[in-house]
Amino acid sequence: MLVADLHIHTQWSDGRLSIPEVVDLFGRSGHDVIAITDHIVNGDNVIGKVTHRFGLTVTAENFGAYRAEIESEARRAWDEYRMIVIAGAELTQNRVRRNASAHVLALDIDDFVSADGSVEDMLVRANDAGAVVVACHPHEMSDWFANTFYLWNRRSEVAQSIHLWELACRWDLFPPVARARLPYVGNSDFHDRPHLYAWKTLLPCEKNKAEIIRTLKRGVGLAVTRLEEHADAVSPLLDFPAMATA
Amino acid sequence: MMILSAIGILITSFQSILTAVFRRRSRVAPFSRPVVSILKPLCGLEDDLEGNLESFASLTGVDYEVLLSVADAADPAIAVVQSILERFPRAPFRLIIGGDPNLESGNRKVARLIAAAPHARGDILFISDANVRVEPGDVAETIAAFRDPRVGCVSNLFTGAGATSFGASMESLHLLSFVVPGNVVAAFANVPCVVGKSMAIRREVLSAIGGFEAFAGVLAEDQAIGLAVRRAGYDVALSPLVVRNVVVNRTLRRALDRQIRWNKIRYAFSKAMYSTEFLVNPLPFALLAVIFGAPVSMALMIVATRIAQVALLAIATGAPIRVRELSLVPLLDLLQFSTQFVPYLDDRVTWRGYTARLGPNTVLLDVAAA
Repeated sequence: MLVADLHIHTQWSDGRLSIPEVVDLFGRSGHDVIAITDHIVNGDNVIGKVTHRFGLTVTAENFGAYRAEIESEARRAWDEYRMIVIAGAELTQNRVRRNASAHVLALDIDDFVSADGSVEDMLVRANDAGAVVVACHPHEMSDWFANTFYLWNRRSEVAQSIHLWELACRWDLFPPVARARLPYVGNSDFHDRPHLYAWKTLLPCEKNKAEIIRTLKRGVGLAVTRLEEHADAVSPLLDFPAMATA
Repeated sequence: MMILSAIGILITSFQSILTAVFRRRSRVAPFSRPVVSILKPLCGLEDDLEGNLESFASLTGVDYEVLLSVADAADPAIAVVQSILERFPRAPFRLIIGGDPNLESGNRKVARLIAAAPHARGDILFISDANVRVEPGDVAETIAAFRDPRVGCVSNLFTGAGATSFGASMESLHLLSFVVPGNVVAAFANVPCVVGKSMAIRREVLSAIGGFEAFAGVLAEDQAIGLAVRRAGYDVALSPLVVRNVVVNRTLRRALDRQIRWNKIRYAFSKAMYSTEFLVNPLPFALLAVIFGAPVSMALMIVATRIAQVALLAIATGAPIRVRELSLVPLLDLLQFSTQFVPYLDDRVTWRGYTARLGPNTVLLDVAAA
């Protein structure tokens, strides 16, 4: 089983760390697979335009450089940590009303995928790009801005366009997702170091990218676990998972 | 009949005394502080699950982790685990949800162990059922058996605790009067007898016998593991330490179902050995003897002796049996006698949502949803 975190942000959008720093942090902590998924925010509403103005999004213009840095760091991650790095993005449509907001991970993409237009159009584009499509924090109830209920409220209509749903995100578990019997993953939605210890996905496959993508698209046999940090762990970062010493 | 009954009461008296002697064995301190991974399969809300999990939050004498393995993301046990994690944020618990759904058609407990084992870091894997409760030093004392390098696997004695219903009392009495002395006698006879409620195995020994995957298709993975460990050239030990199997609420029907399931398991391992078990139940033979003309006083003496034996076992194991529950011993013996015949007539078991026939060594055959 591979330990995977498929929802990680860097300085390319609103994360605090650079991609090399993320690779070192996750590589040293024993992860087998990570996905860099910076925001690609829609530019066709006010919230989106403000986000673009502050530079908190990957754009069509800089996607090539973003993709190239991931590719370069993926090679280093493999050489130094035997960790696989997948290029992705979090396609982001933020609206004032939580029922209209949707965040979707598009994993394993080579080209820019726009988040403009309707959510349904965004899903079509992600699938056309051959991505693994994951509904992000579909039932999060924490604060208004992060609540993204559009997909959840239409789960039967959009099920064919979504491979996986986040059952667990960072430190939250979403029981309604469990009860809906949807194929699931667990991720950290990493933005900064304290988010390292969070929910993770366990993948039952060989450690190679093609097999990982196939396994994610199949969505069967996946498991999730929450990585805990313990102050008295044998070695909080290097010894994964944390252990207690009585 | 009188002779059979007399033989039976001699055997059960011997078992009870042997158990008391076994429990007085000196316990040894752990030889070092090996890392122990406690694997805990969860499925639904066992009696006082929160209290049971809490007892693993601050173990002493070991470096340990607890891997809680749940198949279904909607399992109500998850909410209990989350509650424990909030109350004991420093407890070394990890929750693992999900796994290979194909394994769920076999032994579901083994499926949970397979899901958890790859993430275990310990040199020793300690399997502990969801309804087991321990004292802080119990795990350290149990794994002290590995001080002997020939020991590959060790299991605990266990008794019922917390009974508040008639069925739960009967189940606790069955564990105390039949399962505990049976395990002790097997240990003295050097016959592997492993009950997986609470057992530990060295990681390298588990690998040598094929991992948990090798036992996915049998119902009694615990005994199958014990036999495989022996075949691999290691000893199978019984710890004198007693852990608690929390059984709060049971209907009599459910308690009897478990007795019958365990009967079928023992029958599947050895029909000959199973058949000799009639001898460790002297009361039915005494009653038959009375029907055929033996004095009633003899039956009363057997009843009194059986109660005394169970009382001795309760004292020796520290089992929390109330005095009035001892009056149920005769009824328990008669029920046990009646359930003893079932495996000769029916090899099908129903357990945790599926039914299956039991082949040799409890291989699961014709598995279907219940």
